[in-house]
Amino acid sequence: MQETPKVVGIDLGTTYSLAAYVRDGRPVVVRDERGIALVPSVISFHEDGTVLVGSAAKARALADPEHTIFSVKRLMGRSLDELRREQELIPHQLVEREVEPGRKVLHVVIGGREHTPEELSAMILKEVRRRAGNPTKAVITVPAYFDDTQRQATRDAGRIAGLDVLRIVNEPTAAALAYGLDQRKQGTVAVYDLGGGTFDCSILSIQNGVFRVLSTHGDTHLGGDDFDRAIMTVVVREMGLDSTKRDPELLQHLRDAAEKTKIILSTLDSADFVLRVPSRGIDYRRTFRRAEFEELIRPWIDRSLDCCREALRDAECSPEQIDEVVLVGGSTRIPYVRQRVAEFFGKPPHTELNPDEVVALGAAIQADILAGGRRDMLLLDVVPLSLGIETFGGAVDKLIHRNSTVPAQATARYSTQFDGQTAIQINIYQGERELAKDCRKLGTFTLSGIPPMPAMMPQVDVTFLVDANGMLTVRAKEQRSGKEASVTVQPSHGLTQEEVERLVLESVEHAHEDFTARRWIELKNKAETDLRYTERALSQVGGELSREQREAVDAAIVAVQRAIQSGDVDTLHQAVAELGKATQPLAMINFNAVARAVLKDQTLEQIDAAKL
Amino acid sequence: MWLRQFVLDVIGRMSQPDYFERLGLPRRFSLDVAEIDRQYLARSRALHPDFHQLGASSEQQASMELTAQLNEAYATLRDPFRRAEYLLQLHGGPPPNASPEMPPEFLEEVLELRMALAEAAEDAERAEIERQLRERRDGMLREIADDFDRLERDGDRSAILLSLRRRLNALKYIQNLLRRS
Repeated sequence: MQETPKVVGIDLGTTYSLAAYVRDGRPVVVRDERGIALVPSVISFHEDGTVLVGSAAKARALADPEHTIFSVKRLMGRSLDELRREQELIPHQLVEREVEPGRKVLHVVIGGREHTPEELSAMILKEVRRRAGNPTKAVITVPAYFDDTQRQATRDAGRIAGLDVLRIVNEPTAAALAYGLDQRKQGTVAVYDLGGGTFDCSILSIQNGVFRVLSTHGDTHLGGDDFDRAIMTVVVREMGLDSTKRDPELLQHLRDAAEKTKIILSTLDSADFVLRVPSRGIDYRRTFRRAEFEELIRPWIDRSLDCCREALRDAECSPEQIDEVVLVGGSTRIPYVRQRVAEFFGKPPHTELNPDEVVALGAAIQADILAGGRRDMLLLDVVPLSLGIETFGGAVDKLIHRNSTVPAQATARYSTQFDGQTAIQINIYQGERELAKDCRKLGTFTLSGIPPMPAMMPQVDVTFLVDANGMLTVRAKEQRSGKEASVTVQPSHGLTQEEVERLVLESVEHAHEDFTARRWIELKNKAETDLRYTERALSQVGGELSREQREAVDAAIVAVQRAIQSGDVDTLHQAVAELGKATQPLAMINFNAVARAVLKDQTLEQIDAAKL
Repeated sequence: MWLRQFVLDVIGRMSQPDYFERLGLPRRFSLDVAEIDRQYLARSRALHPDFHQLGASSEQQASMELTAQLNEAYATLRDPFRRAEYLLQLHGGPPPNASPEMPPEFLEEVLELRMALAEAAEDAERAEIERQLRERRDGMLREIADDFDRLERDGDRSAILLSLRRRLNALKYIQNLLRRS
């Protein structure tokens, strides 16, 4: 039996998921007793309420397609509208409910029950987590081209699965980390990541252990699933089937046979597509030659290379300037893909690491870094799509441009239109198009608590901050009064934090673990860490605080100490949040002092090598 | 409107270190790209949230904000055009809309280049025009560097600032062409 890791990296894939962790400084994937690492991202529901996940669920897919679901990742953070064009791929009914004005939640109907994609992904994550010995902390990977809503949905799924999600990491970046570890690469690297349902191309510069993403481009609707569908389309046409009729059983048989054909064609020159459904009198066989298959998938490969071209352009690189090319994702096993990638970049790509495992390995390394393990590597990633706000006339004013290194921030100034106005509403969008209607609406935020003043007098500085997860937070301050305006962002899609918390509590597993007790311990540890830090920082740079700032810190310390005595989770939560706010100026002063000292004491060369 | 923004910017700057200070670089236009990279990476290693994940919440927040500011400074200073715009602003130079008129012969040149780009059927032809554009851009950046050098010595300050403004506005045309090609 393997030892139980505390933190893991999880690759939550469209077709397969898996975990990895660092053991003795090396990342290893989690395998079951039979040595199998991949967990099919498939869930099967039974009449009696049991839920199967993984290979057991996949095995039931043919017998019970109505109660089996695949490719949940394609649904994450999407709206019904966006999913219309690929609905034929999903043999289940999708419904969207407007849970409150302006916010919609997508549900999948399986056997008369409704599930959100977040809950479904959580079931897969729980299975992966269980196999790893139930760690409580994880890094979860997403396609680099996932937008804010999709990242949020993934993080929520992790929470529902009982995980403290340390970080959302981009899959191609994680892969580069895994490769870089092995070969001590320097230079410019292109990662071509073609998975089951998504495609990414990232260009990175690697220097002294710092992995800096220069650009990323992708398509969240391009992957091996599409190749299966291309084969299915040919067969459906030749058999004269009616593809508009919803027929989960037949669809499942078709998909199964198509996938098998595709896989065989990666090693052999021809493969037989066999469809046998005796109950319906179907006994069909057809030979696909590799050349025919290549012709079928060519449009998708062209599209993926268009993405590579865009990524190169954004990185201001030519293909010749790329030193190494790395292949990631199961679909890169297809010889035609390898051939086209090699031609495009003019060099043979790296395939040393298993393309199914490399993302999880990289995620494990990042998890180790975040947990305080290794310090000789650093990832600097980017935001994949620009973030902006709607202006008059429906245009989008971009505040943070795509490929900006995260964390990234930008500030915009707002004022009021009417005398005495105390609130402003602003719509946030993500995407590259000029008009708001062509971009993804992330949500609406309301600035309130603006002191009443004549129109145009208040100056509200709104700061958009994209954190290292590529996720947005918004903060606002009224400059004339110096007051923090309160900001509430209402997402357009997905779950609120309260809903996620409720799902966490409802989770059966957590009832056993006594969730509240665990939460109290975690919170108390955090409170004690914060108090220790505050004391240390006060003794070092406390003199630089203003009197008001010092008083606020002292009051917050007392409040936290009392809350620890009280034993009440919510009181402590509130007090810790207040302490965080009160000590913000102190942390800034202290941090700058520490950073200056570090930089002064050492030459830059030493710092590069040092473990800070 | 512009004046108000300008005054606010000046006030904002007084309380915050400028981008050059954030990266520990001298406040001048001519900078070695390798040196900018080195300073940036060293500071990233000290400040980045990845290395402060276990710290207090205010420490994590500070780490994230300071890194975001560092990233902003780096993105601005690493790109010569943005660096020049930023430095001109620090010197109190005129804003982009202060000198909207372009010499007609320059506009004609841009128009020709744009048409040539649109008509270029073959990749080789396009690459040749791109090469010309990059050459033009580099030449303009050298002129801008000279202007900033003159600003360091004495000379007619306001005339140099205006000259920089004109050059940067012209450079913007070339940058846009390059981006669209």
